[in-house]
Amino acid sequence: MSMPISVTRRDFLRASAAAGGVIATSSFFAGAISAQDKKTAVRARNSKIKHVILLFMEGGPSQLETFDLKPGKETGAPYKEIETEVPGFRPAEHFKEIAKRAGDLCLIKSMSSKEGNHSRASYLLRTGYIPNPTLKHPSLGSIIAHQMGDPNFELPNFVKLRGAPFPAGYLGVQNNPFVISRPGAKIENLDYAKGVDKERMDRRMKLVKEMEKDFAKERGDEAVEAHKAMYEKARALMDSPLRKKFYLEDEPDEIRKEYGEGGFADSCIIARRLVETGVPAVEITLGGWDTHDDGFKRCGELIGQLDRPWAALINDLKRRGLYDSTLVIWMGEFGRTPKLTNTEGRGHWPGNFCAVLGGGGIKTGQVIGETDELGYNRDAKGNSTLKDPVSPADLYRTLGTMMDWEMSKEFEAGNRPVWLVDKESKVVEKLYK
Amino acid sequence: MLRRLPLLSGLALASLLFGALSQYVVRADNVKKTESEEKQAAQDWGALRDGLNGLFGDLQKDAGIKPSKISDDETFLRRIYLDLLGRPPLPEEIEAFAPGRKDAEGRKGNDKREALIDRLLAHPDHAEHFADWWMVTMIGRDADGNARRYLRQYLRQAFAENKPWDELVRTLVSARGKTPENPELGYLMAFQNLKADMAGITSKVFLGKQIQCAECHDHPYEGWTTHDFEGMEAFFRPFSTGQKGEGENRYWFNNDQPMRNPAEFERRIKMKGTYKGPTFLGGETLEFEPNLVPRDALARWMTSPENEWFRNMTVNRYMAYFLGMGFVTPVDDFNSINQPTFPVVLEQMGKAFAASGFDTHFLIKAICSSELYQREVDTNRSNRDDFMYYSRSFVKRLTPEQIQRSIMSVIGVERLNQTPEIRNVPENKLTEEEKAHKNIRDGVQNWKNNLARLMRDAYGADPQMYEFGDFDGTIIQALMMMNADLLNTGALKNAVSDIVERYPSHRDRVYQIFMTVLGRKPSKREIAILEGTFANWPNKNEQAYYDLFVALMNTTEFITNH
Repeated sequence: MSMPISVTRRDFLRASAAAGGVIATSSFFAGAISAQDKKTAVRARNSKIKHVILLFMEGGPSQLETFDLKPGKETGAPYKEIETEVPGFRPAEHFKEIAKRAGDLCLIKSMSSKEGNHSRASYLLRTGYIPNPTLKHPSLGSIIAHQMGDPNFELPNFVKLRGAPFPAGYLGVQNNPFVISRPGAKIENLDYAKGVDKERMDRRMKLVKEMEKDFAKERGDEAVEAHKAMYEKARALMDSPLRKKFYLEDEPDEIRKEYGEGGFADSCIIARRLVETGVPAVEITLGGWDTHDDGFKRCGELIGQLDRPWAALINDLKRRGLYDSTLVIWMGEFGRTPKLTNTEGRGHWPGNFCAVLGGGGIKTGQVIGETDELGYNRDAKGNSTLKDPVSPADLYRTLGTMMDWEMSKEFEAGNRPVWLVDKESKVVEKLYK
Repeated sequence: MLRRLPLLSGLALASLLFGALSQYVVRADNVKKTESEEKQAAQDWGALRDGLNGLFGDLQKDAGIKPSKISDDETFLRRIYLDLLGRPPLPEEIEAFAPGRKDAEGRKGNDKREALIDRLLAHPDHAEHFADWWMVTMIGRDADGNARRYLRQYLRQAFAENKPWDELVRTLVSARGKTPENPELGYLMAFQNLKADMAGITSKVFLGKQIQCAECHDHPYEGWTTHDFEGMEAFFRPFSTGQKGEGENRYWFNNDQPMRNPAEFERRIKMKGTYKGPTFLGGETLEFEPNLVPRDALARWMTSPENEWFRNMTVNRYMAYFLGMGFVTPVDDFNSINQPTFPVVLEQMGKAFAASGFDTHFLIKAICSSELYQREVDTNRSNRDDFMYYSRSFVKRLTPEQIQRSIMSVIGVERLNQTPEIRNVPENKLTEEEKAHKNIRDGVQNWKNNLARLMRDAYGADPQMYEFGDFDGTIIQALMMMNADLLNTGALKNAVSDIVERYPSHRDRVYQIFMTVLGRKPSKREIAILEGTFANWPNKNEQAYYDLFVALMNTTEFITNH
């Protein structure tokens, strides 16, 4: 029931309701409006940030094993902290490379929500809204594709490396992520099928065009037009020289070495290649953070996969002069309980968790928020003592403000008004001022 | 852009409707009927069909609209196959229907079409397709795999035996026991113990009441409060599901018991807070009763013939499904600012549906045999902008499930690789011939699994997409249809070879490819173009037919119902 955006339709509903409760409408027809809307989309241009790379840590990365350690305390991990140039930014010992980049990062220690269920919390962190089964919100990448992407760009405006597809909801399928499930490997169906070359495909498509003519005339001009546009985009991508940006073959060895090995490292290089080419939104997933057991060992290993590629990405973007226009966000869906289980693991804890941002001209070299000695952040009465809490919606409002999204525009989903960012939120000015 | 239509005043409309549907008026207090009366009513779908034809004929006339023509047999056939079986008709099925002629039983016109509707409702593919449709509607495409498997199994069986809709929904909402004996548990299993979703989705899907926004704040215009939401949620509060066993023997269970005494009722359902306890939406609060599982009370209240939300929601969904547009849009959002286009018709149809014993076949037959369903998509000047009076049909995009079924059917992997029964014995006891058959059977299964995976990757898992209207599609879907090896080699080559072998003449081959993929004859223009194209084709053999087959599968016509 993804009703495409249309202000007209809602006005129409209002008018019709007033006129004796008689409403004429068709969701089929609304498709045409969405196509129209696409053409006139007002895109945010007054933003210093041109690209966003989201590093999403699936499973709920522990704050106590990453950026908010409590060494020597009963809730702490047996990890050492690394002192950095930034006061309060003391990551776990495994962050050897990221520790050197502290001055290029901003750590938020006080992310906070109420959602402790993986799917609900992932939805919240990815969209800025709690899930509502009657409405699909777009995820960060789709919002950026819609607000900052060029609809005529040869490459997709939102590329998701690893992880499940997350539809763009009311922003329409054109802002869906282009999902690459195995980054670096051959992308499925992007090449001509066996025995088919460009010439033969052209012949087939010419046939399609001919065989559409009667149908378009009699039954569905709009449908055929939309179908054609999508096929043209797909064909353009198949034949585009830019598609090599999805692969690593022409990436110099020394760069590949700098990022290190593994799927996450490869994804980080591809993200940089895409951003360099003009793709506004990239999301990379790193899973495995749901450490109910054996957390000390597992978090150490995960940081091992994360540290070098992430730091290399920052270095690489800086070298190419792209860091100021590229915001890199690290976060997961929630944190983990200060109390340890007897298997050295931790449960789900949305009360406080960390996010790390850098690039895009934000104010780096600082820490926002503070947790207490043991990390429970509760006074005797059970009230929260977390300093400067930032809700996921606050984070989205801040991103939207920095990127000049159309946050006051009323979008239409089904027959209800909806906004890119939840109105119940505040800007975290510290992040950029 | 949407254009304003001439609107009738509510009063004029109401009087018109009562006239046309007067033979059909059923009073709500009179809906409890004896079994034989129910049967009688269920057979009366012809009266509802006539009522719809008469009423909307009058309305169209009144609005100065000349309706589109009634579709020809070929168009009707493909439309009804896609809607009822989820796939286009095969060439032999088209032949059996004898488009434009009398069928084997000597029937023609609407008699022939109505007989076909009956046959399709009894077709095994119908239960499969409706199980897909309803499973996605209820729990979406991304629910837990076991929940989907069990719910689908239950629905397939229920549609195969045409279980009354109230009974079906009651069974799902009050499901207990364990799998595999009680596959209906699949519905509630899908919500993974999230009670808020159980209440929210159940209200939305079966009653058309979207109360979930009241989970966090009062509903903006309905007056539902968070207490109303909690009242509905409370029915599900004692629900718990678990799993036992390992591997093959793993099963899911629920054994909710009645509350033993008021104190337990209080403790487990009312919990703390200020709301009143389990409360029927906009209605009474449930008090403790011995031997009562509260969820059962909810299921009974929801599906009662007196519950107009339940009746109307179902009618609206079937209208929208078949006609591309219901009386309320979006289909499952009934609220005070989203009034039905024709409230009285909806009301009357709802009552008739209840009186039929909630027989969905009653609705399907009446709707599909009516002129409303059978109109052409092609419009004239007077009805081009009709989005209300059903004077024309709409182009509907196929759902991913329909596309998958259609691809499977036109390529005919199962059809072209039929094998005899293979004895159920260990592999090493099979004869060589049986082993060969088994290889074929496994190959077919493998192909089907690969297609399912391709579809999943290309269409994502979003339950809310692809209901109607979305013609944009995605790049990934276009890439799949153009380039997937599965849709280019092996099975597809066999499908084309089969046609080329059976039909020696060029004309017959082209004809057969059109019939197989699009369910229609090629037009004169298309035949002429293909003559030219094929003359210039570099490799004027099987490959050219193969390219034509693929090209037709990549048309808008193939992925839409029209």
